[in-house]
Amino acid sequence: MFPGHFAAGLAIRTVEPRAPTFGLMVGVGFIDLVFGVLVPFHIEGGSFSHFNTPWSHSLAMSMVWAALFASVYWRLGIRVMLAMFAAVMSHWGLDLVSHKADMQLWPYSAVELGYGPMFGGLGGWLEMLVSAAGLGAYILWARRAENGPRRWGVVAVVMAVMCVLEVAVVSAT
Amino acid sequence: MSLNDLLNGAANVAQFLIPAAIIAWADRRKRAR
Repeated sequence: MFPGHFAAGLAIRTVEPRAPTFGLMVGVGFIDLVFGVLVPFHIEGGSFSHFNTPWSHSLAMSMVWAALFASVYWRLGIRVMLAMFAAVMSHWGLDLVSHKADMQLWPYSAVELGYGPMFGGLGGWLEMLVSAAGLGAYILWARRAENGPRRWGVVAVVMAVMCVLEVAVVSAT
Repeated sequence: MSLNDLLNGAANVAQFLIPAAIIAWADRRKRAR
C-alpha cells in the first residue's frame, strides 16, 4: 500500500492545510521508517525478507510513534498535532487492510490482524482506488483553495509513478 | 549489523523520503508574480 499511504497524507492535507506537507508525508510512512531503522539494529525481531514488526507496526506502538511524531509539532497547535497523529495512524489502518495477518495489537501479542488476503486479487485495485481518492481530494482542494498550491500536477505525476512502480513490483514478485 | 541490512534499511527510508520531499516541494505555494 505504498502510494496509498501518500494518498492518505494528501487527504489529511486538505482537512488541515496548516499541517506542514513534508511532515505529513513523512508521517504517513513513519512506522515504515522506524522499521527501516530498527531492523538493521536487530531490535525489530524480523528482517526485510521476513516481516515481524512488533516494535514498529503493532497497534500500541504505532500509537506511541504517532504521539511522539505529533508532539514534534506542538508549537503549531492541537489541530496540526491531530493531523500528524492521524497521518501516522493512517499507515496502520491501510496496512491492516493490505497485510496478511501480521499486525499485532501490542509487541508480541497473540492476536495478529490483517485483512489483505480477504481482498485476494482485488487488493491492487483497492490500493489504486485509495490512491485515486486521496489524490482526487487533494487536486479538488488545490484547485479551489485561495492561494493554494499550483504545482498539484507534479504531485499527481509523483503519485502516478508510485502506482506504476507498485504494480511493477507486485507483478515481479 | 550486516551491510545488506544497512542497505535495505537505507532503501526503506529513501523510498519514503524521496517522494515526500518532491511532494512537499510541489505543494509549496508559488509566489505571486
